[in-house]
Amino acid sequence: MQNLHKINIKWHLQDPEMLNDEELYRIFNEWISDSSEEVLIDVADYKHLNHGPTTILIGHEANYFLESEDQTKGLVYARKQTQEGDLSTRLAATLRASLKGCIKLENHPELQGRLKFDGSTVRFTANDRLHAPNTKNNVQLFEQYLSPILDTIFSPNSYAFDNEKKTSERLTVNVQTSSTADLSDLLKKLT
Amino acid sequence: MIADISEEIDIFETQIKLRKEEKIEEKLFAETRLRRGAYGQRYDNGQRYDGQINQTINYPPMPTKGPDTFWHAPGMMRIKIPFGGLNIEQMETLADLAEEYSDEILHITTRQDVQLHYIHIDDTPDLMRRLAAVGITTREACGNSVRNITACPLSGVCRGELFDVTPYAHALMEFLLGHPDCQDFGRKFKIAFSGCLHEACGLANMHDMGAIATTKEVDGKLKKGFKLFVGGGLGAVPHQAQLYSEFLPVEELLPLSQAIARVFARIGEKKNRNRARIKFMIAKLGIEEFKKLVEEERNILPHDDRWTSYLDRVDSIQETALKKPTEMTLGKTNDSFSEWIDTNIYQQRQSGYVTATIALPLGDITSCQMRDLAELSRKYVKETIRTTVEQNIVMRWVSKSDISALFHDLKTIGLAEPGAGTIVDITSCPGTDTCKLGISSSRGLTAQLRKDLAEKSLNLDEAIKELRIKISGCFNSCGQHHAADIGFYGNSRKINGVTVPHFQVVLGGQWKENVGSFGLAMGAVPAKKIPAVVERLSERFIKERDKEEPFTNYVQRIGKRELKKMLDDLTNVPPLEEDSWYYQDWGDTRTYSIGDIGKGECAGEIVSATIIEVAAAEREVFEAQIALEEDRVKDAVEYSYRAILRAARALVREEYYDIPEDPDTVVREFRSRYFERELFSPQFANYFFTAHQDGIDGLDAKSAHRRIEEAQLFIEGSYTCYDKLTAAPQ
Repeated sequence: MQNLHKINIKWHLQDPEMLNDEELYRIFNEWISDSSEEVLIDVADYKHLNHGPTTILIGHEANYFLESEDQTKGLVYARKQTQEGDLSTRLAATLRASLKGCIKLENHPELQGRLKFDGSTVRFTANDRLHAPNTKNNVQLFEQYLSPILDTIFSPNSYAFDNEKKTSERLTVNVQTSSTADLSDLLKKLT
Repeated sequence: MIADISEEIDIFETQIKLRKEEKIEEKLFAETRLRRGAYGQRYDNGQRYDGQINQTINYPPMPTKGPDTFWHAPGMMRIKIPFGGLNIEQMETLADLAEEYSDEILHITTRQDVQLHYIHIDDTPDLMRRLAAVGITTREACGNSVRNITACPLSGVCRGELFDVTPYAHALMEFLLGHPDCQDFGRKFKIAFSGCLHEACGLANMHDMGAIATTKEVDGKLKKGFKLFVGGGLGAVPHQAQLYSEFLPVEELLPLSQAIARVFARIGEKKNRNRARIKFMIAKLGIEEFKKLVEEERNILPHDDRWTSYLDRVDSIQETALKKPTEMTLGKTNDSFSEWIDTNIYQQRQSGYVTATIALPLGDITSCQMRDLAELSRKYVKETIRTTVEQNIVMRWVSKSDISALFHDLKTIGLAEPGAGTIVDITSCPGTDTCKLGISSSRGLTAQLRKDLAEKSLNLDEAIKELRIKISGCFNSCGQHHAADIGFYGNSRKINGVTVPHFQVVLGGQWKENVGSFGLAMGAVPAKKIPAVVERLSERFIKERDKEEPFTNYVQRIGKRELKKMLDDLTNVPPLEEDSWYYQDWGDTRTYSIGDIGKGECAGEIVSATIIEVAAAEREVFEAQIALEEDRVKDAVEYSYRAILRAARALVREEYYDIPEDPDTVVREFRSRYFERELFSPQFANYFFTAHQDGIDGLDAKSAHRRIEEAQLFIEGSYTCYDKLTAAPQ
């Protein structure tokens, strides 16, 4: 678990109708042209598929993609490259990057005011079965690493974990809170 | 994991380290990674057109992993699936890897491989190990090697086949994988098997070597064999394969393939990659001369037990069903289930069983779907899944009474699309989406045509439903456009000085009879007008078809002039300022450009087998250094000796191809061929002779260090010697 670097974080859209793949494809292409903070490479289009990721922004450090797994449409930030620090530090950095990505999308001129992410639900996935197999112990350990970070952005004891994934699937922890804070507020608390 | 596969991957990991330290050349590393299935992808030269200008992608600085190929640029991993056969464990592993290393999508290719895109080169050893653990290799999936061996996905259950070709395809794959005689090709070599002459599933006529099941009565007994074809291929210039043998006994399949490989390696073109496929060599020599050379080679081949040892097991390797056979009458209704049965269900020759085709849009399946499909396989059929050359997956041995339940389960996971093998089920190569050579968006066009045709599929005339469309992003034919009723390949045209994406229309290819004939080019049409081309051709065909006339015959009957006339008005493109829509490709929001096309890696880098071996020897010197650093003195000595031996043997093979591996023979041959003829530095050669004489036991760390230094010098001497041998005469 200590060697886990590949972490996916998904924030759900408040209203799934407020973002479609064509718009996102165009916006992701703009991000590539304007990127200075990270290396962005290409946009992959899979909207012909009924399931899974539909529009993916391929980056060097991380990918961003829209998907509707578990019946909820949202933006996934998928960290690929190694990061400095221990796992807690890396989880916090990944969470920060995921929030930045969502906020950047919310603030896009074409979407501003229309697109909002739901700050009360977030999904963390350890995208590495070698370093973080989906076992009961690892789920507990993962939650322990997450708790101090979540205490910072939500109030302590204001959130709950759940994990319903089969062992063959990746270690995934859903976090549900009663908080109604928007993502910008959460990011402020994290920095 | 089999020990030698494990070692292979360790070696590749070391080569990655060596390239990072710039201890091996980029060209050599490129060929090495290609032979292990790690392929380049679009934009890996750091340039991407953003719709206005070519932008530089600022990959972190590192040595390159091939000419003009950034280290950190994501690439494609091609995973060989021999004859398309997959078991449940393999499906689950592929799903896991797509999630952890790729973009959660698995792509089925037109040669039954699986491709994962956007893979980081540093992740490839782990990925390969996890594949190897379930019996899958990526070795020789790309590069100048024997590629995946394909076969009809219905082999063993087909109603029309003479016998199941699967065991033969499997045996040939195992025999040729990593075979020394297949390491020095100037270009790739593709093999396909078909169970019958008349259907198309194996596509034997468009392969470098195609084997079609046949039988012959010999001494009153029915013998199995193959009708063997050679020298077929698509590419820019398609070649129909030529008949090599009407009946090749199964006992001769492996040795004759080996002899063909040797002839191809020995006299095939090496310098001009555009003329290096075996089809050009056969065309130049003539089939009779080629056969003569192969027969001569066959006669001098050292015997190998593996040629026939597998034959005893052929009849015992039979797939079995999970469930008992059942019969069921299916009523005709006008709904999606009925349509799915019509197009996606095949009655097996085994009574009570069917094969279900899972039609994959553009050959794509998500990792979750693959895992769910593995679960459905466990529920309905066991280990009897195959990928197809039409980029689908088939589930064989479904008990008939399970059809309805299977359909509903597939529907739940989004895999119950009807239309398999019909006009809706379009084949497409990756095109501009990920391929460095793509000119137009074959996938974008495919997605659009699928959408248009699927919407009206229930009302399509039967004559149209049966047509096949295949699309390539460029003239290289990975989408097999020559083998379709209606084919397209990407090109571009300048209109008033502005580049517009186009597709060449290719009509009348014959899918039946293992690609009985290739289509004819009719002219380039703007990409955005291709749906109109399909619509117009469909309408005219329905109206003008003579009874049950096949589309191929219709095309030939009405002729190229009339067909061209039919499409003429669709070639017009309005100026950019009037309608910019034409100036974007399908599925892309950027203004079109061909400015970011890269150099293809399809042919691999031309690096001789000798140089590859010397480089492998150099890698062993590196292992020796690591061992010494870790105080494994004996290992260090052993590695350094093996390195010298390997390099020496590689040089000897230049003249004496079948030199055995035993060290005494290598020393003797090296001494007479290189040392005594003064072709090799005497000082370095003596390091070899001394090391051989003194052996590897009882040396201390200091002596081990000296041995390593000597091995490195011997490697340097080997490179120099090879350069001298191959230098052009002054």
